[in-house]
Amino acid sequence: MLHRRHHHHWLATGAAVVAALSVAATAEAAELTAPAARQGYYLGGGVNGVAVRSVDRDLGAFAAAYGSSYALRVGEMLTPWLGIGLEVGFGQAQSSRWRSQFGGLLLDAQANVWKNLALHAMAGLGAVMARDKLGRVASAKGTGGALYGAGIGYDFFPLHTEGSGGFGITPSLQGRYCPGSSFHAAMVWVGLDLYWWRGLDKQELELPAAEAFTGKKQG
Amino acid sequence: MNHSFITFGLTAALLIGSQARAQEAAPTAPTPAPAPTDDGPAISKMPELERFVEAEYPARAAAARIEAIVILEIDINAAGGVDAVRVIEPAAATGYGFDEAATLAASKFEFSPAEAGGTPIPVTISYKYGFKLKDAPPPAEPAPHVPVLSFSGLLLERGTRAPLAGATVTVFQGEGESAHGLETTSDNEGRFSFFDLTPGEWKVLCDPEGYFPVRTAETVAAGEVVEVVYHVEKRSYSPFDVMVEARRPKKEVTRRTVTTEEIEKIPGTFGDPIAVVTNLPSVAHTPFGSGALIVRGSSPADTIINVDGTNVPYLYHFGGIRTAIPAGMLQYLDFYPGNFSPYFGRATGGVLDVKLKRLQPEKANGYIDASFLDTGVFFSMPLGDKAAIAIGGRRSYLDVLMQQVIPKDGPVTLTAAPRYYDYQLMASWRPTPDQELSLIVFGSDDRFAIVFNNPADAAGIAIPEIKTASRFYRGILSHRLQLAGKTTNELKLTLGWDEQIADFGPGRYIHQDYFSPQLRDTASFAVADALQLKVGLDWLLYNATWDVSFRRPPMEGDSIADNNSFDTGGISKTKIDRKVVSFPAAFVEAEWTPIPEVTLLPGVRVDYFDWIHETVYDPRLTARWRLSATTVLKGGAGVFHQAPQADQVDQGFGNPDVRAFWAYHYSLGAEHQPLSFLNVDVTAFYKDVRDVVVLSDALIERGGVQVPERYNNNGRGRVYGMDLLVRHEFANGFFGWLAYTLSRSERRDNRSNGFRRFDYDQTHILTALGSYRLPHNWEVGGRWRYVSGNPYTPVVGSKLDLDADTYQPVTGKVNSARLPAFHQLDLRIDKRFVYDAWMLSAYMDIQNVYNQRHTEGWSYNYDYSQKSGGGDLSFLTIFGLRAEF
Repeated sequence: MLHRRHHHHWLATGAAVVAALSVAATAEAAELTAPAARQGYYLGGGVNGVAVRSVDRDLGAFAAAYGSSYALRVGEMLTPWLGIGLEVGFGQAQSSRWRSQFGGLLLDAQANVWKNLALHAMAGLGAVMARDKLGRVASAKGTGGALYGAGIGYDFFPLHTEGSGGFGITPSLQGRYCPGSSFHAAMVWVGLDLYWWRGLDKQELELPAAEAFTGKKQG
Repeated sequence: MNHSFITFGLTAALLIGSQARAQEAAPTAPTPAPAPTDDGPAISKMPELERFVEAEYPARAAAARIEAIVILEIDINAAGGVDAVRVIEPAAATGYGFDEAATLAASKFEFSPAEAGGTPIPVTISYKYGFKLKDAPPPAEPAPHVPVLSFSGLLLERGTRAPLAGATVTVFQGEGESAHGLETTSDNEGRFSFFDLTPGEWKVLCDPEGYFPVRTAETVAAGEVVEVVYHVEKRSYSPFDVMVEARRPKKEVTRRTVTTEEIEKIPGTFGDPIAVVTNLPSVAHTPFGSGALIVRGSSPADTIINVDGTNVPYLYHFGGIRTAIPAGMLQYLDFYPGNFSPYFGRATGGVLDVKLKRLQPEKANGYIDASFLDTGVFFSMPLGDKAAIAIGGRRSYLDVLMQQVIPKDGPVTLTAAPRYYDYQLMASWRPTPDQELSLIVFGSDDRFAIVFNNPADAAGIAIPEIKTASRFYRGILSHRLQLAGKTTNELKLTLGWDEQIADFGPGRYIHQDYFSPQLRDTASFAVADALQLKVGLDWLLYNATWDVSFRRPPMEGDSIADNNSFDTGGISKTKIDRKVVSFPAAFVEAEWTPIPEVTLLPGVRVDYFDWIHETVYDPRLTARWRLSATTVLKGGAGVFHQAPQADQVDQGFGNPDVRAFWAYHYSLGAEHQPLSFLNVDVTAFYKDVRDVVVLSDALIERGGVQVPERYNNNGRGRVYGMDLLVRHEFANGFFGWLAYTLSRSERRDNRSNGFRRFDYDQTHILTALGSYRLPHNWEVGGRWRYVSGNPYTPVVGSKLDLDADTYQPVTGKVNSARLPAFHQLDLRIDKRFVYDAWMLSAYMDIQNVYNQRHTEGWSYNYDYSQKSGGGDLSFLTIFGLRAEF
């Protein structure tokens, strides 16, 4: 295989290098992203207050049950406005008669529509089960299979001053629906999440030269 | 007489041509004296300088390149020695020591004395001593400067470790107008070097197109070499970015090609190659995702599956879970729904030709692929410049999962939980550029056994157990030779072994195994500029062993009444021990281009079917007419024969007098490419199937004995319709296709008066799928299918069988009803994580996103007064991980 020796050559003036750097900088600027808090991978979780309304084909609509739920979320912002992630959530709620438990694994797509306000659409696997606390119905009622959801949240970054990524707090509101042939349930989640945003790698960020040309990997 | 120094007055005339030089001296003789004066007797002989002494050239004067002349007066005695030297005209350049040097040197002169009348006499002479430099020697050439390596590096593509050639690397110091630096370009191995960098910090920039920039700083120290490796990340790792698709010229009426890269991205198929084919036009939807290929209204047994031209019995584990050949081994699939070349035979339906990878790895690479079903590994590496090897394998762990889930005291006991594995070995060697020798070995093994603790009761008959095992192995040795011009030859020798075992309790079992060698040789050569010939031999042998005790296999057109029970009264038996049957075939096909726009492919194939002792002839013709650069008209017609199934001609199970059946294929269509990445293909087709093997209740006489006929060739089939395929090749981050088939498939057999619907007659088959590449190595894809429901024979009533104490269904006209239409949306998400030396891909495949309930058949209550629909799994999510290096 041909192996050529490359000899450096001194550029006639620094202007050529400056020009090359300027062109490179311009090209970089066209494809690189300015640092922001809401960038890169995210990992978060939170607590929610939950209201559940279930309907059974034979027993009719159950009274609303109230409780709490927990969720763990992980994902990535693909662009400044589009993100994809996974959520694992579970919780419980109860009314005067029914005790419900639910859980699910959802694929979450989010659209950052305005500043840090994001709309979410979710689909995945889930299950809802309800037991009669009064014992009038011996067997548990429930359904399992598809689970759908939609939500809205706003990310606050109180500690963020510069750079890419950071810690955020997100109040959110979500609706979920678990269909079934004989039982289905709808839920509303209101909660508060904590997130850590990893940020983008330095190679993807539009940075001043003093920050760009360092040995660091992160921006 | 006084001796006196005679002054000759030589000052003006006497030229002592002695010259002192810095390095050399070249004395010259004094010139003759003028006439004598009155100072004494006449000089008869002049003094002669016999020993010249060179003066030392004053160093300072030599360095300053100063020359001088010093005029001396020398007293020469009668012996010729020098008594005294006096400077009478000093050097013009004073202070350099010329006078002193000349005086000192002259004082050492030796002369032959002057003579007057033959007598030596003392004289005084004037002497001009000159100091002259020789031409300065050319300055010595400075020793050539040897560049000193300061900074060297290697550019590798992150994740794949491929060297980055031709990338510009810039090092610089300072900022703005004061920036100064150097640049170089990486070589074919990704290496770059910088020489003679001054010590200090240098900023490094490498920004190749299509990659994220490398921006860093390195510190260069005097006398040290900085060595680095930069892993440069691509902006996108979509496999389509590196696909250089050299399109094979199309000769067939319809050939659909699906590449490995597309296979791995199509939603709802879990990356399974064969499942992808079901998304193409002309392929019907099969219930429960089984591996059956139903092509243009043909039975699954009418479509053959080849792997690199070699017949294989099946390609799915357990009938449809996973293909026995992993995607990592595949190059592409070719699918022919009809009108295929004489190269393929023994089929009336379609052909799926799976092409394995041609091993040409540039470096060692491989992957591990894990999903909830199984884990597979694959590894390949070059062996020098001319050879390569690859191995792979996969094993399921359904058995582990099921043994954890199924309770030990439940209604069933898993004596052998379902498990499958497959393995592959590939090796290739290219001794010369025009030939290649390759060996491929692959095999598959499935096993499953359960015992019913409370035997299942299917309409009154107990099934105590189910035990199945299927295995096949294939070894293919190939030799490809490329001679001058377009002459090629490909020789393949295949050795194969298949075994199938199915046990359903005492007296109900199927045990069969086949040893199946196959020899194929195909030669292609040009007869003239516009005429290419292809001739070939295809010889398939079976050495079969059977031991079967079972009811007859289900036939197309059977109703629930036919398949309702394992009634012992319907059991047939047969036993064959090492029976050899031979299927030799030969074919010839011409490719004739009478004018550049028209291609004609006439051909003929001759087959001999040993077990029915029948020779068949299949003439075929395909034509393509290129109307313009973007539009082609195409058409084809041909005859396609197929032998009956082994059980249909077996003495114990079938009718040895059954003949081969055959079909006319006709198709006419057009291809148009409105854009470089968009292809539209529409084809109308008609298939006329004759002498179809169908069930018979008749009694015939054979050997003077009345025997049930069981099968005859009274069947007939016809299929007609059209295909549409709009295909978007990978461009602008998207690939996908829209496939639609409108068709009608009918059969006529001994049980029906006239034509009726085929079991898999699906009037509309619509598939829309696509995959889009997102930033950060995400890809999302979707597939939506709409398929007309399959026909079924309705149950219109029931009657009580008092002897068996069960109800028997009363059925209506065969296939006169239709199941509800099937439609489903599948999604797939892929994410690739890129590391320096490897990559990790994760995917999530969601089937039936909106949870549509499907009815693939009916289940009835005890007296057939009620039915409920049964279907495949509704919402299903599968995760998978793949690590590759």
